[in-house]
Amino acid sequence: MRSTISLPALLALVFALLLGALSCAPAAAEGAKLRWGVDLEGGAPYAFRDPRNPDSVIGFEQEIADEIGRRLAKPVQLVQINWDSLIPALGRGTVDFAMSGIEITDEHKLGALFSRPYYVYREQVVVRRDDNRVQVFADLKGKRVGTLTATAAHHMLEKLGGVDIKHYSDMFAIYQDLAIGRLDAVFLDKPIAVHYARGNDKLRFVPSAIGEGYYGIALRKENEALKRDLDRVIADMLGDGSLEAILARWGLWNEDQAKLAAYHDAQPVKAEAGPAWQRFLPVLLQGALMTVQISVLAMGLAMAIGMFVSIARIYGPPPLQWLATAYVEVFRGTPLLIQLYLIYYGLPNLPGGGIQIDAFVAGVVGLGMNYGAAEAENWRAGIQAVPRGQTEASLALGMSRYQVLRHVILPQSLRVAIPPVTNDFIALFKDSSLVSVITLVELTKTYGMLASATYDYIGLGLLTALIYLAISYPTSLFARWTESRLRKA
Amino acid sequence: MGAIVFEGVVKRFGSQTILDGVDLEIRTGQKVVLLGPSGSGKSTLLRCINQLEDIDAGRITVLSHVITHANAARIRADVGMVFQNFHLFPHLTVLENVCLAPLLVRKVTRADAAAQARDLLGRVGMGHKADAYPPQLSGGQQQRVAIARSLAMKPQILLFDEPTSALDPEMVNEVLAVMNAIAAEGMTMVVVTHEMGFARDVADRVLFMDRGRIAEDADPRAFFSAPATDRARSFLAAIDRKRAETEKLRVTGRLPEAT
Repeated sequence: MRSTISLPALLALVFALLLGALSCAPAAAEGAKLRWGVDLEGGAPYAFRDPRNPDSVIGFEQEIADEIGRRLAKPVQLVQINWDSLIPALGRGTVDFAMSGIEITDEHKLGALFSRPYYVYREQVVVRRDDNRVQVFADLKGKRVGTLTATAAHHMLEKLGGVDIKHYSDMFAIYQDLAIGRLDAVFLDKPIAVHYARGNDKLRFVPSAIGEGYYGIALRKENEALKRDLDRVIADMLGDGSLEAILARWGLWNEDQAKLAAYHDAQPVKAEAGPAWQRFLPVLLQGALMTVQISVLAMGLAMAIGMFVSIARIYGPPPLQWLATAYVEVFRGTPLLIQLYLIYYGLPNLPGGGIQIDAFVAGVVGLGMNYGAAEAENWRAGIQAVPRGQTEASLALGMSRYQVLRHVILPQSLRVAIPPVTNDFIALFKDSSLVSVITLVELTKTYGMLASATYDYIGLGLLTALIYLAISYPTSLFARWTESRLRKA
Repeated sequence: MGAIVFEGVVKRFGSQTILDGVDLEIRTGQKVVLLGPSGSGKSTLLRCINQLEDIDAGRITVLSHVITHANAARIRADVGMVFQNFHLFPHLTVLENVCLAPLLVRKVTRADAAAQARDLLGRVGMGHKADAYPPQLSGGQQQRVAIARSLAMKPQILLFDEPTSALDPEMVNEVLAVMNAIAAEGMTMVVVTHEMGFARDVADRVLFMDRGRIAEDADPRAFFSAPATDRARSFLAAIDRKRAETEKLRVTGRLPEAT
């Protein structure tokens, strides 16, 4: 017998390795390097890839980070993390500090410790040049306003109420959608507006100054030592004028920054009482409604597309067959995410005016066209499973080719197609979360927004998963029931 | 002019010639049985009449029309066909099976189609199963429904392609009884079958086919008592032998020796 490792020994080894990996992760945080969590996507002018030299990162936060590294004599290592996930990443020990335009708000303080601020920001309303409807912040009521999820600007809009808030994660897209009229206004921190919108002669800054807040460096809650270091560095940079120099270089120094020196930290914030699920269930259910609407409509579209494509493939003349095959291969062979981007953000940019589609329609069309390729294959399998004798018997009765297809072949194909179609529907139902990239707030996006505001990733996550399951499980039961009913028939 | 006329009809599958220049005239009201060994072309001949097969040469005239792709559906509506394997629509009830073609092709009203279907199902003894689905029926029952489905189009000609070959022996007679009744009403019938009893008792003409040609065209009594060709004689002898063996099997329960 060859030498083998017994199963218990193997399990013990795996367990030991896992334990080691887990205990190593926080330990590394105390090492010589400082890991800086930042979101470079849409990060201008904070920290972003230099368009002229994409290998290097530039921005005023990059320069502050360099300064921190120099003054603490520790190399700073950049770690790209989605903005929504920066504060949770601190808790996990993935990074040592996060500096990415994070506002010192009560909500953010729930999840992180903050250094003294390095910038005083204001919010900026941007509208189209020819649009005079918005003069003050309160005029945003009843308008379609784009903003970044979970930012201070986002919360201000929520507090104002009655605003049709559209969620973006990409700064370029947000100002493009404003320019082409998908949005009435964009409401974001001024540095972003300055960088992205100032050069655009189609857009106008609403002059009234709104809101005021501080960007601070976020740290893990227990990391008082690093907080002391960073507070000292920032105070020094204020004192010797190096912070002013950096901010001025990016056109961001103004009289507001005088408040940086006078900053006093308020008392730490305590979490709101009461279980999160009670407060958030209604919001999550609203997201679930959007998910269900999109999924059902998209599946209907996919079935219709799939039917026509499969018929073209089986019965059509050669050019039509070729086109149908190409459709299936193209949509099956490319990511749904890219298709959604192309439909929503790409089509308006076509030469000659382009095509502008509402986000909801774009989501349904994108999902429907993508799944149409899969449904075409299901229909095809179903059609080919109908015996040839069915067609012969129908033709012998004098029916036309169309009548045979419509009344004899397709109803029987559907029966064969129901099990795979159901599986596809459940998959589509879950894939529908991708439409959040085109500003739609469905269930997963709602979860992300709530979780990043409360840092209750586990509780809300389980609740969200439960809502998905509560919808998909009955669907699969229903499908099994129809299947058995059809089989009896 | 006859109900069905073949003039020099040739049908090939690849390099194989299935119908080798068939000339034939079937008059209105005739009951014709096609006999012959397997592969002799009887089923193909039948399927050419309603264009389930295209012909390679010659001309077929059905109900005074030379058949073309353009008039295929119109002619098929007047020429019913009953298949060996029934081919009922499994997703429809028995009643819906019978109603479908009249609704779609004849454009009759739903009420008229249903009334006619109930009447026809009664005539084939299937009135009690109107709401059943085909897979719930025995083979004999399915074939009777299939005959009712054909009759619902009020055809002038009925084609039968081995209508009892897929049935268990005890169900053959219920289908033959229905066919006898239809024959008695004067329907023009062309039947491919191995049921010699039906050929003897009901048919008024027997066509014996061999290698794509009509080898004998005779009155049934004359054909069965004194076949004109050696081929027909050996065919009939083989049928008799087979029947005797089947009888023996039924009695002894043992398979006959290979011959």
